Amino acid sequence: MLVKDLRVRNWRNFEDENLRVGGEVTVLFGRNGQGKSNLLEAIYYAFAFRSFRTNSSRDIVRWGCSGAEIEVGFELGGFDRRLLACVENGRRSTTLDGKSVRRDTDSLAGAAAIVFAPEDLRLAKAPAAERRRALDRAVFAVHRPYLREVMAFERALKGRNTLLRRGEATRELLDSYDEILAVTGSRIVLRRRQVVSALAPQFAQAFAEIHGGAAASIRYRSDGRVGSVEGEAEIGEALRRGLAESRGLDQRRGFTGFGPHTDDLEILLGQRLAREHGSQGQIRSLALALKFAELLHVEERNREAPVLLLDDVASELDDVRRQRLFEVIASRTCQTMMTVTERRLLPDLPGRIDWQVREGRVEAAGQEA
Amino acid sequence: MSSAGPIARLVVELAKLPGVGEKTAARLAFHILRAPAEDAAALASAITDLRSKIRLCSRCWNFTEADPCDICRDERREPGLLCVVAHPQDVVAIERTGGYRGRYHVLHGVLSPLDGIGPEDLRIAELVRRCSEESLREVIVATNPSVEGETTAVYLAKLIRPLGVRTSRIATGVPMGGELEYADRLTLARAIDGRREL
Repeated sequence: MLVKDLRVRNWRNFEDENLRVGGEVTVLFGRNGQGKSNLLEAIYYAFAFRSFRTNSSRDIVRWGCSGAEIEVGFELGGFDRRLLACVENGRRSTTLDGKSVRRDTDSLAGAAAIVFAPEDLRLAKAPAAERRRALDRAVFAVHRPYLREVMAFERALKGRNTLLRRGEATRELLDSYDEILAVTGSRIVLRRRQVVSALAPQFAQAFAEIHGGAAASIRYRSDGRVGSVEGEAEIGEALRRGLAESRGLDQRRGFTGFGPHTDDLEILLGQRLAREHGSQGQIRSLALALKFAELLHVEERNREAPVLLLDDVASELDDVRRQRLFEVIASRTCQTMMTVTERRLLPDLPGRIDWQVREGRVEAAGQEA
Repeated sequence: MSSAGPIARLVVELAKLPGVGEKTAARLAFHILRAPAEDAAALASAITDLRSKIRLCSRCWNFTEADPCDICRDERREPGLLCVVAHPQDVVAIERTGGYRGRYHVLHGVLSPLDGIGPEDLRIAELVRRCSEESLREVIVATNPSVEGETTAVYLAKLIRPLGVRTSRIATGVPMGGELEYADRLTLARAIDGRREL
């Protein structure tokens, strides 16, 4: 996939701006708070139909406006296409070449954006919820219908939790929710496991190259009752049983404490959990290695390069890791868009296009200021 | 513009209808204004009649003028077969197929704790009563394949099965006349899951 141009209207702090996107590397530079990240977010939003920074559609619309629009021109499978994402009074809609599409449409299969933001650098030490979210994004990048599966599970989970809090649900009603959670949950566990086993070898190799020392590995961790079985039906059965067993406790605490929403992507150094034993440097290298693995995986599975969105990551890395990052970018066919505050951190990358972002305006800029 | 009063009022009322925006509402209002007076009167009385003459059937809870409704009174309907739907418009949809010969039960919604809708807000107790009183052979649950629709279906099965009535769920999958290559992946996956023997 190749993003060619971007137009944003009433998006965050932008009134109406458009920019041409370079085939290889596009640099958005400017001081903090000028709106650079908002442009990366717009690209991600257009392809994923959701933001990587917020769940509220109120935040993404320019202050005082009722709606926002993002228009992206891109090439996919050799064809030029136009995606138009709108948020109007909190309602989202997207059209592809003028036709309304759903977010899991097959027409967008292979169109993926991978984000790498400063908070991702701490992923190995972050709460499990963030690692699950990162994992879900990695699944979505290669399998768009996954989003619908996750949303079905989350909706059923919210329903069950609401019943638990009210404390008046009958056994049959809770049984029904357990059934739906088991069916939708087993698919989630299966997909996450698949993506973790696909990422694992590349992750280990990337970490060895970036950092060396102890070997790094990843594994998907579920409750033992679920972790010990394989196959969708078997996982579903284990979830059904586990939910039944935890019901009494769930009723007392008012939420569901068992299921894929409590699982974790475990990142290990040797035999030990990186979250407990990793040094600052190791944590960052692990994050970098995981992104590289994801990049390779998406490219391989989709047979279409994703667009890589680097949100102010360069300035967060030391010289050696930054160098490694740029080597990978230069060696991949994937297109990269990055934000930086200081351009002097960047090497001369081939085919680079620079834009200066200042107070919600985007202006073309030469390679060096 | 004082003469705009009644027009503006109609526009506001019409714009409350689903799928009708202000522009469409204005176009409809001016159309009614230009149409013969008897057309406008017919429309007005149709709307009034709707509210005064339509009530709920005491057996199936569908909208009806006579109680029990035409379908419940129809002797040619298969007595042992009941199709459970969420809304009265779903009865219309299934009737249009012309292929179903049983009777119906309208729940008037689906379970949704997030919206505060529990079993007591739906015609579920009435359904359970019918299952034990009428000698039913099979109950087909035809709620939507959404999370709420599925949960409602599972819940109904848990209540009805112990009464010795067979409970089935409508199939989901590839639409007739549709081509496999155009079906979205989730639908196709479900169609494969829900395959039947030939």
